[in-house]
Amino acid sequence: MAAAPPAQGRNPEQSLHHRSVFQTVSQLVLREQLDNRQNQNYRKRFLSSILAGLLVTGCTVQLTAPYSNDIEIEASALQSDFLKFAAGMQLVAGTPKGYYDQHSTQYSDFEARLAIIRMRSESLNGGVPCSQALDAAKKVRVPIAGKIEQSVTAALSQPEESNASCITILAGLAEKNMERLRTQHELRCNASAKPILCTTLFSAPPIFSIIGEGPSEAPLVSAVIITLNELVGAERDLRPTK
Amino acid sequence: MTAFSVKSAADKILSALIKQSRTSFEGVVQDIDQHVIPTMSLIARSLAVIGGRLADGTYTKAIADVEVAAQTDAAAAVIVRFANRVLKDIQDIVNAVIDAVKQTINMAVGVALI
Repeated sequence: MAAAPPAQGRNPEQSLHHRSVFQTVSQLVLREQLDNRQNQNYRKRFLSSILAGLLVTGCTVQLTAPYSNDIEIEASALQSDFLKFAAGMQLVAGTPKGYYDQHSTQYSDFEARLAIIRMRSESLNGGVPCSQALDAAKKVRVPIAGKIEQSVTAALSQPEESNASCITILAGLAEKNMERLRTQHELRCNASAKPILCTTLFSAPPIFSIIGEGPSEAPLVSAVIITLNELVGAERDLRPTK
Repeated sequence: MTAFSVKSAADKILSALIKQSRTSFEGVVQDIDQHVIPTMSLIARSLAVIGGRLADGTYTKAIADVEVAAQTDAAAAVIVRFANRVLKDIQDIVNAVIDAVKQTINMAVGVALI
């Protein structure tokens, strides 16, 4: 029995083999329907043979999106670069060196990289849509409170997201939070804005105060860090178990 | 070919199912304690900070709205990752059972049939 492909979709030869086996099984189903009335024992034997057939084809279940090493590496590098950027911003926030126009290219870079991650994730076939997993979570009453549920529902309500994998949804949430930070940086860190608006956006060093146990003095940066961390962690969770 | 015992085969498959379920769902419980709850508490603290800054006039309503929306999306990200993790665990359990069925049948028939 072949293991599930680790990344980048399925092996075409294997898919072809599966298709031909399934065609054979379908033909058997049709034939079985014709002979259906013969006796119950025949049906039992037939169903057993289908089960055995599925096993022989190397059937494994793929519920999540396939693991992608590219996405994990790219998301991890982006997370690391963003943390370095945020730590650097803490040193200059509230001064002219922290103005948005000095840093706008960083956001272009971060947003382009998130778009690439999202596109790569969209191109991977396999797994069930994330919306189904979340619906199942609701049915078993996993608590998804008020606004969070609305956010998840909104993230899934875009036509292109209804069949999206959880990784694609996470990349989309990270994009939204990155764009929020970019617009706030633009509005709050410039010559005409009060410096306190910029210092409250990034807070003071060390960077651990944003991601650690203490009070988060830079809520928006903290939200970006969390969404990036969930994206990296979710891809890492998909790594095939040895 | 050795004699095939349905009971013995079922026991082996069940044992694989239990072992894999235990490993997988232990990880999920650990994940809730070590990751989901601490991250949600970080988000809760951020929301309190935003509320405080709105109350003392540091933030305008428009700034607070954007920052609250970001916290909501961060919390949604935690939930989505958790759902993804549970799906992966279910996938691992089902595949472990399929693998156990394969091994049990192969061992019973004495050749690598599956």
